[in-house]
Amino acid sequence: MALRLATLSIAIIFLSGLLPLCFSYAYQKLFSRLNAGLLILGSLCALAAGCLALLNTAPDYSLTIPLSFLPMLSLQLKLDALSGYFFFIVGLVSFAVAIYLPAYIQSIPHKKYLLFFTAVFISGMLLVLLANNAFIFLFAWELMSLSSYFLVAHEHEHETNRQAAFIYLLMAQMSGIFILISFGLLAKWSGSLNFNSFAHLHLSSAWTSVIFLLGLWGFGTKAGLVPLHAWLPKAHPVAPSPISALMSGVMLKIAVYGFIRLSFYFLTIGNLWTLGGVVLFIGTISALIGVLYAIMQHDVKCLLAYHSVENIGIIFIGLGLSLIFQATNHSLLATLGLLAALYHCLNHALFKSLLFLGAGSVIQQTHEHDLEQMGGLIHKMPRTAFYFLIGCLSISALPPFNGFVSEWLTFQTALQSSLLANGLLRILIPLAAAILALTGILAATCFVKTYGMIFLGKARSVPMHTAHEAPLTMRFSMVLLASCCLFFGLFPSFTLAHLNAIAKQSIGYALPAFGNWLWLTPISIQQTAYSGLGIFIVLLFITSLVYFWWHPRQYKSVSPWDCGFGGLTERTQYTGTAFAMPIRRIFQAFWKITEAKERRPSLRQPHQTQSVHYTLHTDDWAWEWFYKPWRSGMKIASQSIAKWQSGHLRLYLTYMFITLIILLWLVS
Amino acid sequence: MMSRIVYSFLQTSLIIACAPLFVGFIKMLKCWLQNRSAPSVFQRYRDLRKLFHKQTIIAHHASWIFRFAPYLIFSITVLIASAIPLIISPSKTIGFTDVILIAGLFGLSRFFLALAALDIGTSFGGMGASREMTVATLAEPALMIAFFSLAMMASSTRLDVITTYLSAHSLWFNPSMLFVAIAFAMIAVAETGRIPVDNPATHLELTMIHEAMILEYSGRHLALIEWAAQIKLLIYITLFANLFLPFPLINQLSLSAMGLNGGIVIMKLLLLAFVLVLAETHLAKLRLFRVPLLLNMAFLLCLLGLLMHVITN
Repeated sequence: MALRLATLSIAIIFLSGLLPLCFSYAYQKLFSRLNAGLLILGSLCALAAGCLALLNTAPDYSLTIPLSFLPMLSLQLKLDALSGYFFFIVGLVSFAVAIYLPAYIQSIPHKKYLLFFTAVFISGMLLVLLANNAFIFLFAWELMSLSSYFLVAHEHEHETNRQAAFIYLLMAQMSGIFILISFGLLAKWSGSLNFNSFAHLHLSSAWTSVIFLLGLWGFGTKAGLVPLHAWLPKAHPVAPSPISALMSGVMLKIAVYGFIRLSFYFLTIGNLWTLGGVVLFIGTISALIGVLYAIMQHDVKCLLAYHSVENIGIIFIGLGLSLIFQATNHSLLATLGLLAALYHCLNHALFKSLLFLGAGSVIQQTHEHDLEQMGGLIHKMPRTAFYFLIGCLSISALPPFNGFVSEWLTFQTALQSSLLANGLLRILIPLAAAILALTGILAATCFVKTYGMIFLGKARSVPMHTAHEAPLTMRFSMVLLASCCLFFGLFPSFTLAHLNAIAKQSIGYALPAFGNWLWLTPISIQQTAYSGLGIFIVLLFITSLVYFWWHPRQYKSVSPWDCGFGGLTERTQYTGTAFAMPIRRIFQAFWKITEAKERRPSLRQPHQTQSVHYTLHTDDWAWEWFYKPWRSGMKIASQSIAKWQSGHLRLYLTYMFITLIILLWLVS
Repeated sequence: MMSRIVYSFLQTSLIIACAPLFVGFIKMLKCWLQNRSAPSVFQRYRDLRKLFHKQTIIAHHASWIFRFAPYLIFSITVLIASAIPLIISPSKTIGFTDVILIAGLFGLSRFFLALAALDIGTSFGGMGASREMTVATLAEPALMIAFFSLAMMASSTRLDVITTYLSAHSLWFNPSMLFVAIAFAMIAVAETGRIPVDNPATHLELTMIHEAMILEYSGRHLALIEWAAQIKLLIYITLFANLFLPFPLINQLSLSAMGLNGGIVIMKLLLLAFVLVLAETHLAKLRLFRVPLLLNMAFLLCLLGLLMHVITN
């Protein structure tokens, strides 16, 4: 039932993409409505299928359809708890995006291609989750990558967009190759391409490590782990906002899904805790670097893209902890770490797509990406501002919203490191937790800046004055995501209880108890207790009490304090760059900062300054230290190969002759 | 159980009610030490009463965030106060005692204060918000590590369980605790905006941190924010007194034990007020970019404390 629903959802979504290609002027309205309706219906089917698979306690749903034209191969699909959970995430976000999309794309050119590739993209992602065979998996993976390449390159009139899309394609292909090798090795040892035969393979520790690291590289590239993240802040800002929401909120999770499938289902880690240590290390670095780079951005979508790097880092911290505890036979803590990571996947999908959709509404109204040009939009777009605030609070890991719960679970897992025998891990894991705390507060700083610059203060440019509230459908999808952010923050025990099935399948251990609907007590009541709902209600109660007692019955509206000099304008406000300046100075080693001040003298009196120009660039060290060496290495390699390629036929015949002789020598 | 809830409730009210008194006492002590004539201990109550009766003025294009923030900030501080062990360790049912949650709630209140500061669109607000978030960026990880060390010792992140654990095992002379205690004092100074990180009595806008953020507030709004800041100071000092100083709380609900606890806590608080005043009189406010050095030291001390705990156990 669930699997049929899942395949049906893929079919419906794919069909919805085919419709716009038949757009003709006569039926344009009909087709676009039909397309939107089908996309919504398909997402709902995916959502329902995911829920059914999670609720199901019977064995997994699986299906094999023989493909007559490919004798070696059949379409093997399977829906277990893990893929069901990610199906749920994809379905939920796609549902919100599908509602948002029609009103957003009014102003976008070539919308039929956009709709087509969006549908292919979503169905590709869903097919990845359903695949029970390495071939199908990789096919769907490439479907997802290629369709998203076309989405990134949608506004290809601009040179920078084409470049960003090309970098994205390059990195996506590289990730695909590493996954291919990793799965190829698994297929070699198991003798089949079917995922069932991959499950819990017992390999030598060297081969396990090799496959694991190849998979980490491949999936990590797609997920955006540092230093493989550089495509992310380039690709996300140029794609249309709902697509960014899908890419950042969902596509990165598909990579996480692949990694979980590989490391928790296929490989048997045994006692190789170093692998978990590597994941923990990379996750911690990604979280910190991601948020630090985010703070320096002034393009709102670029900023959000760097935050994805941060959140993927947090997810990998949870996974790393889980792997470490699994390798040291602490099943309960391994489960807790995995659940924290899985929960953060859902949370990040929700608040990140909320933020991207909010940013999209602002961009649609003002045609402005630059934080330094925004301001005061809370008066023009009060509802969007409110939903965006909920997104900001959630991503900054503040109680009682959902981001806090998953980070809290990660902290709780990390704090159990005193149970480990290894002294190094016992000190490094709390250190990673401290860096996670630093990440949280840096994220809060970043979102104070973002929210302050976009919505608060005075308008910094003309388009801000003409902005209007987003249309109803766009607001509806934001309301949906914002209320999900609150819901999953208030009822964590409920959610975790359903995730337990995944832990049961992958680690072989399910948490015995989570407490009740009010209190979340993952380890024991003595160790810790958290109640999101309790805090929300009590805080609401006290705040309303304080408000009704003490709020002044009348205000007097005056102009703000200007030290008695007057002349406060929108230009005298603090800018985003100024806001982040102390952070930039304290953590300056993390960026490649180029700062220049240029004094332009007045023409009449050369000793007087007419204007001062200040330029600041904070670039990513990853380009300098990682990509440029690679690029120059590739260049040198291809140049040296080019010397062999003279273009003369006789030379190639000589090569063939030499090759044949060598082969003969080897054979005989 | 029921009586513990009632006592926790009373204790929370006591913290809220006595916070201005404590700040007034610090002010008085400071004046005495500096050979000035001191205002009354109750001056802070008079200030609050005056502010509550004054007209509230608001800048022209303030949004709902500016108006709403004072109530939220005050409520969050009250909520945190309900989790603090002053005389008894509070009941879980009334206080949300998880230490990570406490750090998170302080973060929530700081988030809204910084947003409110940015709402008006003056430079001072932006400057204050930027500096406050910077200081928090440095202080919060150190605070978390301090809490982590305590949590790992007591193997619980619940403040009430930690307090009970500390009253059973007197640990204040433990080297790990000593490091964490020194660091916690530095963090507390930074988080509550005292010298050498911030000067609560400054009248120069350019050197302000906390005061710059609330420059636009007046009347009842200002009263609530000031009161919340006073409660926050008392919370940090109480935490320091009851977690890191000798003679921890006696974990009994009898009247005699509570009387003894109360007496000891008052002595500790007076002592800490004296130490704070001494430090504030002797030290000058640090330049903003010297603050990271202080807080990095706190972070490293916490880390050393944690390391020591890990090694010795």
